[in-house]
Amino acid sequence: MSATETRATAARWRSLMLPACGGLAFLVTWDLVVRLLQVPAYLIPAPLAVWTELASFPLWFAQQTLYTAAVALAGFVSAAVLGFLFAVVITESRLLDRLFFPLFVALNSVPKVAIAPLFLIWFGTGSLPKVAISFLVAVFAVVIDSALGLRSVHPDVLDLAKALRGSRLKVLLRVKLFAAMPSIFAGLKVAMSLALVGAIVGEFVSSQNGLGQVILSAQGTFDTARVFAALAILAVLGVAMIGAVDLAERWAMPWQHATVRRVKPARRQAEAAWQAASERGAMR
Amino acid sequence: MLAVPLIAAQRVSKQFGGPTGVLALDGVTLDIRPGEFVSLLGPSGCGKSTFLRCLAGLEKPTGGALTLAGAPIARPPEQLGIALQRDALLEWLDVLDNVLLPADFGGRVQQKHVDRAMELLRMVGLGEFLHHYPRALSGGMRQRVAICRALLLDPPLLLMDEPFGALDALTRDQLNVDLHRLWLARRMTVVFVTHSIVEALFLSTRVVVFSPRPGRPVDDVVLDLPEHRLLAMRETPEFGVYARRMRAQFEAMGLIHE
Repeated sequence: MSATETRATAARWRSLMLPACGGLAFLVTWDLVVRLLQVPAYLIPAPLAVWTELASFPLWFAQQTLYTAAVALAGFVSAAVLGFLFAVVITESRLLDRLFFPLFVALNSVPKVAIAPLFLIWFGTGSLPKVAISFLVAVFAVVIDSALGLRSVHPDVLDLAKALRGSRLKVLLRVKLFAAMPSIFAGLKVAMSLALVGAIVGEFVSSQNGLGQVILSAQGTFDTARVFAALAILAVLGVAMIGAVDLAERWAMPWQHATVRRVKPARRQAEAAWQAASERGAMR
Repeated sequence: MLAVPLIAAQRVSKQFGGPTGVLALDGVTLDIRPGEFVSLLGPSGCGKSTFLRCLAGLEKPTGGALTLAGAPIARPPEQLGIALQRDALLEWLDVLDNVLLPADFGGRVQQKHVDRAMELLRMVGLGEFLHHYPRALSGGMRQRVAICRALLLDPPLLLMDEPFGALDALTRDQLNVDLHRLWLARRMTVVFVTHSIVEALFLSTRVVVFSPRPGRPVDDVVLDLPEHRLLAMRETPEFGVYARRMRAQFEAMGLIHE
């Protein structure tokens, strides 16, 4: 193994092990505090008690998690799509920006928890009102960050596009969209965690399913270990969902970390052959 | 030379920010004939870039008449080649796709465009870098890509706004040589904005000196220098005469003191 490879492996190991060590230190501290101070289990259960709770009903917890994750994901995807489209509309048209952006900010200022009961009236008690709340909580971050990104294109690049007589659609699809990507993904990460918050809020208001409902009903019976179990799952779920957005970001922006674009070997060979031929032609 | 002018400017003026704003150009009258390589030479803030932006259709003059091939310039002309001080490469496209951008924006990329792009890149020594992203290139390489992009569609008119301003002296010399070779091969009309006397004299067939605030031409010299320019030409007496003349203009404007 070469020196650089060794260093790369060490870096990868560190990037995985350091967060794990942090988590472990947190669990040990938690356990020590509970033991030494003899905190009653109905206030703060020991980590092992939380684990036992999880291990006793794995399938049931999995179902509740799946429900909450599905609601959060639906809220996130709708917020991402509609939020991005709204950002495109207000950045492309000054008129529509003036007309609707202040209204959008005003609507966003209304506490979502206060709107939740209204959604029950409108959408019933199924999963739709929860998705709607999740969407509402998440969409603001997408709109603000996407609009910021779409407006961040360097003026020189816009001048160039104008001088090349690029159509608005092409400028949007070839230039603005890509220039905006770092901002868009920053917004998506915030939106992802907010969508999860929204899903839980929705389940607090009324639900028969999901981790929010688990927390609420366990709290009613002072089953604190179960509350902690649900919180632990939420924490892991949050990390996983943000991690997924991170992966999507790396995939969508190869130019941020690669120096050379991935091209099919056949194309590369054809280009090399063309260049060799052209070189000979130039010599003649 | 009695050729019809490609660009005709008649008392062109440009005022930014309304009637009380800054007067950037004041009564610029200038004809540019096809095939000329004209440098607009002057200090920063003398309006030469503004004049170039008017030619590119990116700004509208507030007074006078500015025509390209007899028609007023209302919007960016078709088949315009343009290179700016910042290379303005798109970081998310590889070198080849950056060069192909004018074809893409003008309609669809065809095989002939790809061939032309590869030929241009090979001519400036970037044949090995077709699929590199711009961030992997040096400043000089990036500016070469920008010049290839400007030349992709064989534009009859090439506008360059201090394209080498941000480069070190050696790279700048090399790019001057490269650009001169490309111009000799194609003989397109070039309007080149610079504040370097040496660069202007090395590249141009004609140099127009601009005075600052408000910008207007104060000197206009058709250069009697060899057709094929070599860097060593910059040490010849003829070159020195022109350089002294330009420097005298700058001294007269109070821009250089000794």
